[in-house]
Amino acid sequence: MIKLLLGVAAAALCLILPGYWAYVAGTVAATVIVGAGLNVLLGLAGEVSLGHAGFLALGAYGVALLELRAGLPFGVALVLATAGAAAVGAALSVPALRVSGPYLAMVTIAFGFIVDNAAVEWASLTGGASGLSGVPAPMGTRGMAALSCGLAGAVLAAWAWFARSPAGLAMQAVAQAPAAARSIGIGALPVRTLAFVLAAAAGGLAGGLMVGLTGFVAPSSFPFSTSILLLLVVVVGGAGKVWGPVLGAVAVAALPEALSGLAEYRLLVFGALLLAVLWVAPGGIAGGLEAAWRRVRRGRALVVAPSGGLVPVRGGGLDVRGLAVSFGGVAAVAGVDLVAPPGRITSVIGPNGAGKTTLLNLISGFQPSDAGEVVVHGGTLARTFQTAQPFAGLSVLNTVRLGLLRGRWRGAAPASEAAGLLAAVGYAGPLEALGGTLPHGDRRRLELARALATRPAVLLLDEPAAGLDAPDTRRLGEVLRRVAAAGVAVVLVEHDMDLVMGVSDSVVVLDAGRVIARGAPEVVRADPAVRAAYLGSGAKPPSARRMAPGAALLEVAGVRAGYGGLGVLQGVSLAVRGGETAAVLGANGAGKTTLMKALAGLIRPSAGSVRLAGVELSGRPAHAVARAGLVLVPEGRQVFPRLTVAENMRLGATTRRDFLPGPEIEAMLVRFPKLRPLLTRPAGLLSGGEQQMLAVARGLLARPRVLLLDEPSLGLAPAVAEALLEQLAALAAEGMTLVIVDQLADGVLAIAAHGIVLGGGEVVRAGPADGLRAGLEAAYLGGEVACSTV
Amino acid sequence: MLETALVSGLGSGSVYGLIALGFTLTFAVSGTVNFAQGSSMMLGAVVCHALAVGWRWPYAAAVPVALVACALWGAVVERLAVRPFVRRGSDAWLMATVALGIVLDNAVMALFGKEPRSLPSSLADEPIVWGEVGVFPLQLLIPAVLLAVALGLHWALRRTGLGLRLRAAVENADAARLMGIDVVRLVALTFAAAAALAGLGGILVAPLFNVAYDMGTLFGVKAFAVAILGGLTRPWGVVAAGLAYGLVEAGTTVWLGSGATQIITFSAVILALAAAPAGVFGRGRVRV
Repeated sequence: MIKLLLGVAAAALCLILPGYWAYVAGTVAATVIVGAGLNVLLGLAGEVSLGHAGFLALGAYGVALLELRAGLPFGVALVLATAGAAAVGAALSVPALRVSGPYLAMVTIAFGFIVDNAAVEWASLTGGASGLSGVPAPMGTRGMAALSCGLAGAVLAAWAWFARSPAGLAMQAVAQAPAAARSIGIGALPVRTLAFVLAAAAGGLAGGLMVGLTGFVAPSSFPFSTSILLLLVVVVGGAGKVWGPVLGAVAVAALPEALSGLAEYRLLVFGALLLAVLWVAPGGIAGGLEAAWRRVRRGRALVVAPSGGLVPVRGGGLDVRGLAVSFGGVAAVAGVDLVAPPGRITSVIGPNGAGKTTLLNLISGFQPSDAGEVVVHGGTLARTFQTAQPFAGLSVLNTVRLGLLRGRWRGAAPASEAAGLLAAVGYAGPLEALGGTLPHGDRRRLELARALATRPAVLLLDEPAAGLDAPDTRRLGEVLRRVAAAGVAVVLVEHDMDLVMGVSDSVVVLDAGRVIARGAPEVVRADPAVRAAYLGSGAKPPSARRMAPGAALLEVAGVRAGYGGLGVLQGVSLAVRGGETAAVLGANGAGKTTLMKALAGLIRPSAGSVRLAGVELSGRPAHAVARAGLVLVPEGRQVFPRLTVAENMRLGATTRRDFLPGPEIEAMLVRFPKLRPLLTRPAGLLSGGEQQMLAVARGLLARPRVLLLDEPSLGLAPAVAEALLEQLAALAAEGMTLVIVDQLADGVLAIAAHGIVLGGGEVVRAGPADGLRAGLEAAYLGGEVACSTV
Repeated sequence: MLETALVSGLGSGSVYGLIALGFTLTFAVSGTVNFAQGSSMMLGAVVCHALAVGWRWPYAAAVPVALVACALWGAVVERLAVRPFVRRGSDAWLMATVALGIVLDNAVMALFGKEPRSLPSSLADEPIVWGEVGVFPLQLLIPAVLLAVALGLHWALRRTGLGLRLRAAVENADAARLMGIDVVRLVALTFAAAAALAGLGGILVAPLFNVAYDMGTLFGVKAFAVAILGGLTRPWGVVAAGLAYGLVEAGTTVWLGSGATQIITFSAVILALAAAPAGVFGRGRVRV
């Protein structure tokens, strides 16, 4: 409303202003209009256009030609030119939909140059380089300026309405979290096309108004730099904010006036300004003002009476038969059958790399399967993601409303219903909070509410308890029971065994892409095959190796680390003496890999210290940690797939000056004879076991003081894993200092002198290897609470 | 007539190829590019002009110094306009490099002036005449330089330690860091190398055209088109695309006039991207 009033007021002002100032006001208003259009593309859809001046030119030439050549009145010409620009925008969106980032920038640049050159070349129509002059404007400069101001007010009001409309919200959702948008039925294609059409129409309209203001158009009216200036208008003002283009247009129009003595350096100043805004205020002027306004206004919370909540579903259910997919010859999911009846919670568990998330992706259609079928009875299917994917810039309430809309651009999405769902999942925060600012637990709840809002018959949950503390996890379990009680077929993939064993009606255990057990929780927990998959065969006795005497070589104390706002490690300590082997054990999701990444410098610990021979390494970048002698053989091997085996090995010795390629690589081939015939092969073609040997060899060639190994046996066939563990035992016997993370505890405990067991990001047990084995089953498969002996 | 055009097309195509090779270098390692590569090209020509004409340095000294200046500029672009945004996880580097290019162009305009100036060269004085075709030696030198650079790059990537580290960083940056490779510095190095390659293109082409503060814009845009058509991560694809682009451009100019050239070539770029989003000569990153 205020935008419309402001537009009318500015229009009235134009009618009484002196001609020059009316002209300036009209130009600013036209810039606001094209800026608002670009703000749909950049601010809502998140795409950069570097050729937007082309649409201005289309509108300007359109109006001029329709008036001069076809004799149409200005108003009709303006409408037709705007429609024409929109049509061109729709056509241009076809290539733009298929590409993004630099590719899209190229498409828009090319478009701008085409329009520019066509205006010069098609001289019989466009007047060539000298352009078209004497374009009649029926209302004079003041009238045109007034019209521009009025339309600018209307466009801003429309922008504000659109940004909150279902289509506008969907556009932001696609830009902020494409996969999550897809999961609630929002198609990216129509949304992005709409963004281009709206941006093009606004450009055409503004171009038509500009030609009305000046009565003249030429190719020089809209050079390449205009496109950059338009970006500046939106970015400086504040992308995604309704007042952004206004502030930007005023800044861009006012600056040349203020710098009239420096007219030559206008672009220099603009370039520097754009850079400065990108550095210090990515939200632009409007973004900064809005943040300040939010601080002032804090306390006035949005109040919506919740209604509805969980709606009963009837006759749903999920049937999965023979689902299979393989990646590069490795079967990730090898013929899985799964039945999830309505009103029941069916959990899928299994050790790391068993194929659980892949299975979810196949069922939800995020990944095409090689074979098998998925049947959803009685409705639709919704899912959540392992890493929460909130729509960072959308409010909690609007996120759930988008779920209620299920991708439709029209229809009812009552706020009360959304609030009811949020209440049902236990969300107690403010409804207007933005998704990106939520604490971790609330992100999880929001994600659940968003999925439930689509009213699914089947709900797939990918590790919903990851990162939640014990009370939150318990509340999540209660919510899931209520969801199931409403008739939804719930499929839960989860590492938290207490949750799984506590809420599930039945449990399916995957290992290496196959179902190895299924049944009631207590039956599955007692199954020897399940225990073997989690803990190893149990054939080897724990090592009786004594701890070495002396001071610690690697000393880890109180390390905390995580990803973004999600804290994973809550203060982990571990000391390893030279020549010792230490084991780091724990269930999936306990924080083992995070600890390895924090030690190696791939993620920065937020607290605590990592000392190697007394030298503090915490906070150093990964390459510096590696150079200091703390070398990680990462999870999943991570060999360089297109480099040869020999090249991979040489890279291990990157930081060494005393590297002798011939004899040292020969020594590795003696240690790992299987690699010898593969020396000139690309490493990506090796089997999993061979890649793991290569990764260990690569790590050893760095001559590490301590070698960290993250899940070396992951995904290997039992015999191969055994052979690898023998190699590691040999290394330990030679006096190498090792820290081994492995889920198959029995194999590692046969080598290690001592170790720690992680649970929930903390050390729940520590001590000699033979004392660690007892109680591990509880930590891995739930049951009695593992007690701390630290 | 056509033959002359084709030779000149080969020349400008080679310059596109040189600049585009720079795009492939940085994109392969970091997934980012200096969108203002045209400004780097201009910087090479302008510094070379200032040294060789202004201060009367011999080319043997002016060219290397100009290339070093470009390399420094490339490192500055990476530090100021790319790294801060990549750290934040933002793709505003695209706009930031454009902005920095505008700053450089206009700063040069203030120092160097608006008027185009010529860069004399003995290689562009006397054409070699074969029958009816006259060709400046420089026009033959440019494609030769492109091929030499591409071969040198090919060799360096496969046969030197730095090349091996670079390929490792391209394949898996985190694993490369675990090998003790300073990936951040490698990225800065590729930006410096990319700017130097563009500067070399600018110096080579300057005697045939003119030196001006805005000479790089169109070259940069076309070189980016070439890089995308060539597949962005494939050096030989980019070389082929550069030469093809130059030849098509020259051919179109002969048949249809210079103005039609840009319309046709840029339309071809859009159509090519619509038909083969990953580039014509390679595979790139495509929206899913």
